[in-house]
Amino acid sequence: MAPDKNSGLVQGTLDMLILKTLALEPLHGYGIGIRIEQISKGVFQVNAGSLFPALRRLERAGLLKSEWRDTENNRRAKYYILSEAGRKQLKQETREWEAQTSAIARILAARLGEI
Amino acid sequence: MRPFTNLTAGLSNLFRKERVEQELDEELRNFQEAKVEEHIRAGMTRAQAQRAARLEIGSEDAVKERVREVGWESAIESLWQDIRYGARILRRSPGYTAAAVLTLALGIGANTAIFSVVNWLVLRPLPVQNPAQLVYLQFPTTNNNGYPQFSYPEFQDLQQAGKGVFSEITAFRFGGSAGGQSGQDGLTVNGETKSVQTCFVAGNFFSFLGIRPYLGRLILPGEGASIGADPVVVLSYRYWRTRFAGDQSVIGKRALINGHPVTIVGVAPRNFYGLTPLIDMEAYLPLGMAYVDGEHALDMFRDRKSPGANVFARLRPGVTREQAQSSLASLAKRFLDESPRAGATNMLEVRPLRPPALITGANPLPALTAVFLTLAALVLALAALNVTNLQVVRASMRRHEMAVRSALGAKRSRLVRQMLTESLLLGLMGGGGGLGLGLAVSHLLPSLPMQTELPFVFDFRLDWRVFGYTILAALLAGSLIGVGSALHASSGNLSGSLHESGRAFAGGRQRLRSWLVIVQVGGSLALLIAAGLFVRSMRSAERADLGFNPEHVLNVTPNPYQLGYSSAQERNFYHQLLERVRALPAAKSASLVMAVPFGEVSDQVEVDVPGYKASKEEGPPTPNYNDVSTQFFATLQMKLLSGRDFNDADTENSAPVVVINQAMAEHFWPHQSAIGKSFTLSSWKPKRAVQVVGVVANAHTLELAAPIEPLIFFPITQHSADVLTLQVRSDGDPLLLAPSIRQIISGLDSAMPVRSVQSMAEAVNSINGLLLFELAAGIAGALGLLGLVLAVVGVYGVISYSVSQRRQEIGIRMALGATASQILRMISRQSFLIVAGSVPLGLLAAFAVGKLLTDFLVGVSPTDPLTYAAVTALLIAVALIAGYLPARRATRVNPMVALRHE
Repeated sequence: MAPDKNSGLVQGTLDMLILKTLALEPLHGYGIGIRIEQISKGVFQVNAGSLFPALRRLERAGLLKSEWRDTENNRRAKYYILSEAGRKQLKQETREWEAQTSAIARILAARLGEI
Repeated sequence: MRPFTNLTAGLSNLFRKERVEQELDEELRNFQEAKVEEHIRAGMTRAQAQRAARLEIGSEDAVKERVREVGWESAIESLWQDIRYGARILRRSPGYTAAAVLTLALGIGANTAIFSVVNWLVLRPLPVQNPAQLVYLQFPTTNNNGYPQFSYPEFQDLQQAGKGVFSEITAFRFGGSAGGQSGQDGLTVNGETKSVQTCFVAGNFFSFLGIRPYLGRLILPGEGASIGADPVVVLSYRYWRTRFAGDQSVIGKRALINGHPVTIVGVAPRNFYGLTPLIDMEAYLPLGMAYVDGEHALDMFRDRKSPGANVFARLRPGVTREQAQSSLASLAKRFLDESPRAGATNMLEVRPLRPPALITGANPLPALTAVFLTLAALVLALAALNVTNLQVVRASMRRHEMAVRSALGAKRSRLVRQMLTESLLLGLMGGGGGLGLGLAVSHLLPSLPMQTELPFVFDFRLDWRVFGYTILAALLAGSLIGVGSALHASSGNLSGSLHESGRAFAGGRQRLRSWLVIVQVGGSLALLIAAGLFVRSMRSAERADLGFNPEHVLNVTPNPYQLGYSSAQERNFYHQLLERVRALPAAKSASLVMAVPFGEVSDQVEVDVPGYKASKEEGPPTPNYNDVSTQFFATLQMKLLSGRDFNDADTENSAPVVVINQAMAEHFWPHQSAIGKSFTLSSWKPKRAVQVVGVVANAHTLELAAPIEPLIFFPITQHSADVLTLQVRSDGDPLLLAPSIRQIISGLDSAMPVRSVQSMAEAVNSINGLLLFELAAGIAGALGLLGLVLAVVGVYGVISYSVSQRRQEIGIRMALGATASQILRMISRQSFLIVAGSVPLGLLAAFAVGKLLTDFLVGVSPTDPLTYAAVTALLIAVALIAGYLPARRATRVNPMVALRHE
């Protein structure tokens, strides 16, 4: 199996990244992977073994919808679209994530005497 | 998560599986192609790019599998795989599968059969509206016989007083034998008279139940309140089908009941048999028509101290039986003060209709059904143990398969699940067979000779309760087997068996198998002992000294009452009948009797014995009585202990006399002669004393098992029922007398209905007599035999298996000089160990089961040493033979063949 670069991802964040990517515009599986890679400047590479189960899971939970569309180079591909529920979920997860990261940042930046 | 989206998506994936798979394929292909293009753009050749993409994506199958695992439907799919695989495995060894399924079918069938009887007797609610709300009102009495306890005015009082707790109250009166002393009523249609079990109901009876007619109409509210006002009759569905073959033109027909004109107005719904267990109420008439049963049936309308009706009520929603009971307490107290009921305390009880208790005597049903359900469950447990054993044997043969699957990546839990699935599959197949078998067996029951004219109903329809119980039994047996064999399979190191031949495991595995067999044989022993006790109980009941001689006696019951004869006509008919029969040369003696021993007719009479003070619990003494003609004691060969028999001088106009049994003499006049003593009957007005002129030896005439109770014999000239049975003693086969007696009867009246032409010896086998004992012994015996067969199969199986596993060892031993008898001893040692372990276990279990049986055994103690010893000896012998056969085969092992075998 290919080296799993996204295994470094914090558990559950892949879902959030997918939701965020799709909040920008509907994409197919490959597009999602590339978009995450681009935005993260190559820090996160999503492989098929993680991406597709995640897509199926999010779709099953009603956070995504999908439809087959023609791609820019005239192929048929399954596009994923963020649903209303997915939008809410993304908002909530983003809030939680920000709260957590700022908390972690504070802890990491802490020095004795400042507490 | 949105469970609903999840559910629909899962279902659509299941049903559009191919499409979903195709889409997934296409999606992955797209993904891969995009990757390839990406690499080409980066400067790779097409071949390099494809290779790189494949490396990045990895195994396409693994990706797909991970995607599929996302939904719950994948669990169903793997279950389905397990089932198909299990079915394939079972199909591959049809012999094994057949043996296992048959064993389970027998075990489950025994349970289904017994449960379908229990379901009918105890569990199935009446087919009426909200049956759980129905209750009946009764003063508990010492004999608890379900006799009517309320007069019509009392019923009306209850209706008033019960308004707060009951939404409706109704009443009925059993017609014929159950309500009085006349036997069943006669229904004449198109000139033909046949017996019918009548039931006189208050007008609101059917609206109270909330049921609709099958045809025509039912009795209406408002009917039956005044005497003779509504001469209509509603037939039961069963009676209408049997007698009129479902002919709809019967509705509206004029008919006669005991000679009184009525109109047939409707048919009650199918599967409705009335409110009494076991007996079909075949014809419903308004309560006010009860006079067709004789003038005395109207006493309950005229005299508030004359009980004649049973009272039923429907609880208002939310009202408990206890609340209803206490709200009626003061009224009940008044009833008792006005007219005491035998043995009744001042507590009026509000009882549920299920389990039914309206049969005579204490209600043995729940306890008896518990006993037989326990025995049947034991049989099923033995069958399951047996199949577990078979599975374990097969599991050791399948160790290779399991090891290979495990090496290929199957998780242990998946292997265990596979075993469970297979066992459950076996269980369900056995359940299917058992359902058919059980229903077939229970349908044999109604064909039993009941020796009665009462319309007994056995409705062993398959309903969801029987079905559910069977499935439950099947699943339980299946999971027991599955857990047992999975425990076995998961013990030990699976990969070890890839390297070894599998034989090396014998030790530990054998021990588990031996334990299974020990438990199984022990269980069979307990079952067999229970069966032995029932058989002994039946034998002792058969041999019991009845106190009379049923051999060579013919019973014939003509029924002038059903033709509407007047009392004078009846007396004349019986007088002539007796005279002509006695003139037959083959008749040694002939007599008439109201209550044939063990028949369905019996009655009690309240007596007042000077000098006898009844205890408060006993209440006014109400001994059983019988009306008999002269020669009765001679015909039944009952022994006269002192005094005299009735004779022709005891007439209507002579001083009233009675003969009593010894129990009665000892009860009322202990330590003195009862001859010449007198007492009065409360029901005779004006009161007149009757004098005891004879004492006869005690005889069992009502119930075989119960102690003999006081009994009074009246001469029919002074105290008589409307329907009498003719009894004739001959020298040879009494049935040979039947044709000439039939001729005499039709000579007296060609329209005379005649029922119950049977020998007294046959009549003893009635439901009150031997029938129950024979039934219990038969069922217990069948279960015991099943247990024995299972034990034989178990022992045989475990020893055979052990021999096959030790072939090599035996070969070596024989090559080294062991003799055949040494080998035989070595192998037999195992059967001895099994027997030695199982006997104490079985005996312990038998003691426990025996405790349950105490109340149902006659003339044999539940710890009867003879039964225990004989059955144990039998089981030991059978088990040792079952073990000996394979052991002997072991001695025939050819050492060279055995050694080369591997």
